[in-house]
Amino acid sequence: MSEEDWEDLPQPVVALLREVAVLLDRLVREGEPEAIDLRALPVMTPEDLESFRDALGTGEVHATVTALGETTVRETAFPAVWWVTYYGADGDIVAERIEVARVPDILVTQEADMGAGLRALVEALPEPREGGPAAPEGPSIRWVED
Amino acid sequence: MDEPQRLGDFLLRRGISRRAFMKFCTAMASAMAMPPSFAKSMAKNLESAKRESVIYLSFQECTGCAESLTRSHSPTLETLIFDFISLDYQDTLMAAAGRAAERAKEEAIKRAGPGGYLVVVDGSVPLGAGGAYSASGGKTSLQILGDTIENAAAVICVGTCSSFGGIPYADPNPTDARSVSQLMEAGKVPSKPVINVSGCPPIPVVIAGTLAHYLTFGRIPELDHLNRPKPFFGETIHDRCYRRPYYEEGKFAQAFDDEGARSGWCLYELGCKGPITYNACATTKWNGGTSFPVESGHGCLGCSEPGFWDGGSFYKPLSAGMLGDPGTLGAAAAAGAAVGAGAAWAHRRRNARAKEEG
Repeated sequence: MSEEDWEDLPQPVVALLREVAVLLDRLVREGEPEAIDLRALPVMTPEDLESFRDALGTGEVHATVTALGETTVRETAFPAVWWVTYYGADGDIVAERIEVARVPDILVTQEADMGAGLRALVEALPEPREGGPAAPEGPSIRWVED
Repeated sequence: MDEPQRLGDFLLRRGISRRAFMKFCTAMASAMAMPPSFAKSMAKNLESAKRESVIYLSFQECTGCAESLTRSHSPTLETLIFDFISLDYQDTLMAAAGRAAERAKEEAIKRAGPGGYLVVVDGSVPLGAGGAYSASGGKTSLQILGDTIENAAAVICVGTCSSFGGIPYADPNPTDARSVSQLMEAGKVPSKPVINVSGCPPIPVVIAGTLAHYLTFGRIPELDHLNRPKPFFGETIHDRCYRRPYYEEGKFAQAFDDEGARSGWCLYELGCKGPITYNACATTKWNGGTSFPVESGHGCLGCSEPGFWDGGSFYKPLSAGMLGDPGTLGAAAAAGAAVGAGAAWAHRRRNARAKEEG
């Protein structure tokens, strides 16, 4: 967007962009991630939302998570400001947020999932062959029930 | 193998990833209009929460409410709630029948102990003919309700029938049907905290969200004057309707096939009950977020309000029928926003009066 385009932005869009700036400032200073629920905003016209999207632009990362329907995670032109859309299994939008964080939570591998993954991998591996190299001595497997 | 008691462990055992779980919490926080940071604390609380035992009772009802929650073929966020609870009795869904089913219910109640389980009620309870209109296993619905809720932590009324009487309660109410709250007020069943999740049927995410809120905090959410959870019933359909700008401009469709209807004008004059109906249809929508009645071109019937079936014609504008005061509201077409608020206020007053009169 050109400088003139920024001058012409509708008032609700400017207010929302200011809020994003406040949250980004908090992340920079205190490391605290925050989010804005786009569906909880007072009625914004589809045109307002579109110019908000244009103003934020597109960044380097675009990821899709497939867990109970898709979630699209799109970095905006402003690093650490993400546009995250959560879809239900039927393709409907169940939540849409601006997340201000190093990495949105939905992308980060959770500890419990790591434990489950390790267990699944070890169970799937064939027994070490006799005389072959020994299995690696990793940390003991953590499973939530322990 | 014993099932894990902690919800987090149980979900992991069921192969539900933490990302799916986070997504559920984000969607619920958004649907409940909670601050975005709430999703994280909800996930943290829920993970270590106990899987609550739930007994689901069906009385005079059409099963549309259970259908609303279970309608989907693919696993949805709403149906995930079934993994969060231990549904120990639901006579339509459970494999067991007859004595085995009743035994499962009794054992679940005993295992959970006093205050350790929730009861979901779907349908109204008839008192006519000694309760003979609705009975099973030799017990009337009134007896079953009384016995089951005696030690319950709370009762969640799913649907307008259990919340306010619904269609069975409609004039002339041939079975002498009552809502759960009416039975408690009359001392016919033990009094317990009641949450009314009304709607004919209620929106799936509202049922799931109310349960999720209880599981997260271990207490019932803030309720409105009719015991409905405020996060979902805090605003009218009219408040959040996408046709609202036309109402403000005084542009009203006069027939379902006229130019105004085709242009998406307000359906007030065609009998829409949106201004007096508290529900979340306009924001959460139906059928996987496709639309809601007003978006499909039909006015709101007001199905989450008490007595919606007896409110006069569905096709008469509010000013002409439901409020019985055409003088005050007749100028609706020109008056704009204040009318919506006025109609809502008048309706609340009417409901409050109906409640007092019991």
